[in-house]
Amino acid sequence: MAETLCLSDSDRSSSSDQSVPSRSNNRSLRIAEKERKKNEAEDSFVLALRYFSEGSSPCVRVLKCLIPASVVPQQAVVRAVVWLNVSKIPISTQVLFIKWVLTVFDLIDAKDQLRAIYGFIFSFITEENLCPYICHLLYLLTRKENVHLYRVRKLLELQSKLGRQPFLMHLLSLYKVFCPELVTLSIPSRIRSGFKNYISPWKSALVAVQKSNGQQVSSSISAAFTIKEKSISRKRKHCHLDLPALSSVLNKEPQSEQTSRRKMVPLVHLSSFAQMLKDMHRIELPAQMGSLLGSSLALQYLDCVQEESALLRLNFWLGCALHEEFLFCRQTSEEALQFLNNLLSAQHFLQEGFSSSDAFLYKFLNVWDGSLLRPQILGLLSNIPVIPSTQIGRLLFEPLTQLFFTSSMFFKCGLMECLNNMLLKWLTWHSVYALEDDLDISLNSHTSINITLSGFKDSVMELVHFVGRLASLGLQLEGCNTLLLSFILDFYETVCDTFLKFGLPLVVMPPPGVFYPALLATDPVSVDRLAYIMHRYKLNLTSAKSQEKQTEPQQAFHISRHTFRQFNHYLVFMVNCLWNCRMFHANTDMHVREELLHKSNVPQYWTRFDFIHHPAFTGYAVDFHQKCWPGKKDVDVNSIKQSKPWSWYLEYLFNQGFDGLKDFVHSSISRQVTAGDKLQDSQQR
Amino acid sequence: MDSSGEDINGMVEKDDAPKGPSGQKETSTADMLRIKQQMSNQCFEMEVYLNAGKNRRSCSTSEAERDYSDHISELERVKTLQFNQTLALHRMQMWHAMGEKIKTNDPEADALKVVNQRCMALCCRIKQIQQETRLLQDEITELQKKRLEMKRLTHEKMKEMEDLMSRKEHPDTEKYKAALEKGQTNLEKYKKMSIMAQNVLRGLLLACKINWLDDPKLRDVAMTLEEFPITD
Repeated sequence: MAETLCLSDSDRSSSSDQSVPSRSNNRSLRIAEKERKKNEAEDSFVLALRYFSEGSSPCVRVLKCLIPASVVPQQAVVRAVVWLNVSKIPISTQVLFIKWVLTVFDLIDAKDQLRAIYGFIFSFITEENLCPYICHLLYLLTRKENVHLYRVRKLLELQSKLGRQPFLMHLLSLYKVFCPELVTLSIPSRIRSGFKNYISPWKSALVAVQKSNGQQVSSSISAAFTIKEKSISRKRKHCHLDLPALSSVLNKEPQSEQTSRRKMVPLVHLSSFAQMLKDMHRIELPAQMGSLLGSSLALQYLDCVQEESALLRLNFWLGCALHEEFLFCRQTSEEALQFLNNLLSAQHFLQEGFSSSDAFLYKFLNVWDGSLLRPQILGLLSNIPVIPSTQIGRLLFEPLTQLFFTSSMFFKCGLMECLNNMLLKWLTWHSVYALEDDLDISLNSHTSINITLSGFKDSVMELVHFVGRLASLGLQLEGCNTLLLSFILDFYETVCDTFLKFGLPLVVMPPPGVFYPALLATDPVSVDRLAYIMHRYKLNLTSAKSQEKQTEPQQAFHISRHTFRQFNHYLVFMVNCLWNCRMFHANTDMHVREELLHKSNVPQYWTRFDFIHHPAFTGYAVDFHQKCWPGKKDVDVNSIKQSKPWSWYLEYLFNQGFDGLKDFVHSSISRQVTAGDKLQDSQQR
Repeated sequence: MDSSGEDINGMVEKDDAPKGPSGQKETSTADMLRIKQQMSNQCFEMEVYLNAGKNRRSCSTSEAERDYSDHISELERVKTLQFNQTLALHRMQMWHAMGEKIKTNDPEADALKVVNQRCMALCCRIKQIQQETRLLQDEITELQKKRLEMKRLTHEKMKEMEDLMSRKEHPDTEKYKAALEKGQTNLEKYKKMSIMAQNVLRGLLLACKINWLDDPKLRDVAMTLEEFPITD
């Protein structure tokens, strides 16, 4: 196998025009020699492909061993395509050759000649065995100029003969994107299967051989403002997960004299943002759309221009790459991590995801073990756009529920954070795109799904309820672990402010499974955060209520009585517990039978969760007592209950940084001279 | 009637049921007869109920699924209730014990006090960092909102530009309209002809299995069969 790699110069002499079996022309010898001097590598391939034309059996083996040292010259491929037609080559070899072209497609140095022979390649489509692979190759080469009515008719004819094959549908959908008036049939908007994955094993073998021979492919990313500086390292191995180098379709330098008015500027030649703005309407996208992901300039261009064919091709490439690496291969590599990091950077830059990565995630969640590349997968998950409430259960909640309850505590925390980020992104999107109730707004620039305000509210509510359920059960499973509680309270800090910070007319209260463990927490930080959250809820509710009164009835939004009741219930409980020393009362969720409480041998059980005896604040009470009465040997914290020390104690607590408690106490508790007053319950309708 | 039947308070006692053996002191014969009568009544009622239930065996899957999810939420609600109450009880007892310990002023209490001091210091630090994080997060959210707003505006402007460009007409349209139309129909006609010719030539090359690559003139022609020099 090693001999066929990097065929050396010594072979050059033998591979003159005798490579053409029959119709050689002596005149062309000189021209061929000139070409040869320019492109040494072509000869090695021509020599190898000579076996091809003779159709002999070593041909198959040679093809299978043909591994490019650096690049594949397109002239060799063109020559081989001509031979496909001219010589009698067995079908299986033809299939093998096309597969080989697809495998090394990213390594072909330029694509302009291939595009010039588009029609010749297209003619092979009638051969049934070759059809899927030819469709794939055409998909990679098609531009708007190649779409003609007779070609569309041919494809439709094939479809009636072979059925609605996915490869035909793909090519037709690309044709439709370029020329919608020519392709009138309806194509399902989500063809997720993609072209069948038949080149992946070959590709990985290719990569393995290249690696083992220490091939170093220098990747030239010349576009400015690359997001990841590391990717310009010369040691990067060229495999299918690497973002392909940004290159232009033409291999040669554009001669300046030939620049006509209509000449397109390849994206790779742009080096600054100003230049891009100048040439905005003449920019030519590269043949390999995946290369755009590495360059922020390219991404910005793509985002501005919103060219549908470019997005289609990019999503197609991305989907293929993700499927190949994670759904088909068993082992993952270091490149997978790098690739996902690049993808994440691109998504953060664009502030939206790609439809192919969303589709991949829905599938992947069902087979994920929860620990493979966890930060990256969770990061990608948080970029998913709003899912309509009818599908969110099936697509997102079911696989996540399974993962959540069978995973470690750290996964639970990570998932909480991911869902919090997802909610934040949805809310940010809403606050910018300000949905009206009847208007259908498309979710992001890439999808065609529309959503109304009520649909959006439904989805948000579903998400919040889902997280509430996960949080309650998660806390019970993990014994109210403080770290998990902290992530959950992060989530509710986002939820409590949906109205004031993001303008979404929706208020959702936390479930009892979250509220009570937080209130009974043993660390003061959690109790303080809960107090902050309750304070913010109060502000949101009062503001919503006042707005409801002011604006006209049509625009007003309605907060259900149930929400108010739930809030009041929690508020009353919290104040009774912390301030009024009325814990374990009847008609609350904490009603415990008297006998049980007596059995516990705890005196004055009703005060055991107030500001002095609460597990979170006991330490502070003791410390305060010592500071207040340093002489006293016996620590009797109940003495803090007197009026003056009580105020000092509260001041002391608030000065520890517990701003949430301070806000809560000041806004919800009106102190009068007699202790044990109920708060002003103004929310009751 | 609330469903507190399953909570920590234990079973709700029926008012008319006879007290269990632990509350019983002496039973007279009349009492026993009365009890027997009651029990036979209750058994009869249960039998009737069971028989009625037999005929209602079959129900649709969707109904069952709805009931199923309702039962699950009810189960979870009750579990959470019980968990919270147990948590409160346990914590109360635990911290009461710790409070008592601290009061005793022995070495263990001192160790507890040291730990307590450390916890307080850490909590203070945590609160500081949390405050900073909250501020930073708010800033980040504001920035993201601004960027997204920019993006939306950019798209709007691009759409407007496209609209304008498509609507823009040549100043002398009226004058040259007829000529322009005629020119365009001619162009279409010749375009079709040339595409057809290209197609035919390509077909010929393929059908006759001509190796056009090695003949430079033929190659130059064949390489242009996909082009149409005047773009739309």
